[in-house]
Amino acid sequence: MIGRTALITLAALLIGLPASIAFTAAIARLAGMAGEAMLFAVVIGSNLIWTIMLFGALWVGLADRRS
Amino acid sequence: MNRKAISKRLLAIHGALSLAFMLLISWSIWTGILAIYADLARPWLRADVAEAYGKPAATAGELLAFVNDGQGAGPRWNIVAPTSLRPFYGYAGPTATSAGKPAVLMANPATGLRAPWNNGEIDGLFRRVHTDMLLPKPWGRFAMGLAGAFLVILVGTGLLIHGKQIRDAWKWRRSSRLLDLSESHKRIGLWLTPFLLVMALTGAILGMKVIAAPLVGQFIRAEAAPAGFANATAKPAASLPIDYCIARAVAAVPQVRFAGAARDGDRLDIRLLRLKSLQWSGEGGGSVGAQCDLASGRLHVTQDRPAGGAWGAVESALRPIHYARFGGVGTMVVYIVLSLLCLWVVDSGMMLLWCRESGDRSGQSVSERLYRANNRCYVLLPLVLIAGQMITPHTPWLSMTCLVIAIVALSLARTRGLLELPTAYAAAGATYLLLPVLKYSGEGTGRVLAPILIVDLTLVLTGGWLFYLSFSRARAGRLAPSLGVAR
Repeated sequence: MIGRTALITLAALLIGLPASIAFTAAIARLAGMAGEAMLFAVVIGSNLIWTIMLFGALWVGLADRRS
Repeated sequence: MNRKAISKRLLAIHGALSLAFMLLISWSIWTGILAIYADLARPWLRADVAEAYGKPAATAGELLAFVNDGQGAGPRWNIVAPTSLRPFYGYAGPTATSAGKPAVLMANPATGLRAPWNNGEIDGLFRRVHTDMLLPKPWGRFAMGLAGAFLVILVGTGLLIHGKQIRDAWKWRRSSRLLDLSESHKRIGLWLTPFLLVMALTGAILGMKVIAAPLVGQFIRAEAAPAGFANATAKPAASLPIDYCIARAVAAVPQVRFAGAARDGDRLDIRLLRLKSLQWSGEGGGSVGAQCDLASGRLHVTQDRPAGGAWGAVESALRPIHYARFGGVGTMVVYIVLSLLCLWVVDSGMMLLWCRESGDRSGQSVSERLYRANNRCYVLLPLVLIAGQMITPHTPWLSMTCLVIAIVALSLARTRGLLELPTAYAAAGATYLLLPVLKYSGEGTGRVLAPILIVDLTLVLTGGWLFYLSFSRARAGRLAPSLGVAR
């Protein structure tokens, strides 16, 4: 369980973190943000999205395969 | 998926995340307490800092003359203005005695305070162990940010595991010790939810932004258009005083105070803080600042309002909220007490987890022993740190390292019972109680300040708590054979 959790977190970091930053940056750009407003929005938003993404990954990854 | 299956999955996430990252999560809370405690411990340990409390601060110009022994200030330096909890300037740059090499000092010309600052000694250590875990950037900061994200998930899953959690918020079943533990974990955890979420979210963003901010920064162009010239009147430059520039900058932007300045040749960057708002100077959207040309005397307000709109305002408020940099000593005490309760929620949760998994064999698993060793370090490391600082003015790194190795080795070995002897608790408690005695016997009572009294109180309370544990263990030891209970 510990190993699986650590692996899921590592994968979420290596793949999910850049993806969440890119995703938030794209949303911010589409919303017309630029400059420092965009920077702060991405800094805050990407973290929230990554946290939700990690929760999702754990939800799927920690499913009991026996049931 | 029915409700029971959802609860089961949430509990699995809650438990697995706790078990996999138990030390990181626990460290983030404990070191966070120390980081806030640093401002209280500093005047307790240093009479020269205590002396500066409440006294009018000198001007930046006087400070620069002071650190340079009356000679002119160097061409490159950075200063941070005093605050109510930090009654001295932070100075980074060469000094008269550093032979051109940069030094980082806390200095107050009014009281003659001039000592290294923000290094590995106690106050800097207390702070940096939380912000960076004493690791090079960005690793420690990122790890702390991760702990914040884990805590957010733990709080979220913990809230939703049982639907009746909120309905039973104020109920407490006390029919057994295990049930008591379970209730305290659930109830105290629920009551602390707002505080935990605020601290975890702000900490997660502050820590993990070390990755996001540089990446995004590469893609955006600085749009800082000049906000206008506050005073374009030139003044003869050769001996333009620093204080003159700072006073004009403070006057040029309404409702601000001086927060710091950095000089690079003729350019003086002045950082200002807006009054009555949650801000952190020199960083993020809250920065308000001006630039003064020391050659021509021209002042240029570079930013007269927080940048980045609402996002900038939120980002700027993260640090003051996370580090209790609003209010005063009372706010810090509330933060420390609430954080101690958070630490208890983590502890009780881990104990429940091991009880559930190990049953009668609780206390046998390596993870549990490691966690208990870590908790013992929490009690003993500050003791060695403060005692070492009192005896020599330096951090006793060697003693602390040996202590950690000894505790971990003893906790993992069969000899771990040695650490649980009532005499061991009593010895630690007595040493905690001895610290205030040593302090006041050495230099008299000194100034009576709220931070000093709080540190005295925490030392006495910790000593008293350890004595209580010693007595309760001795009593349990006496009762166990007569009741036929195997320990």
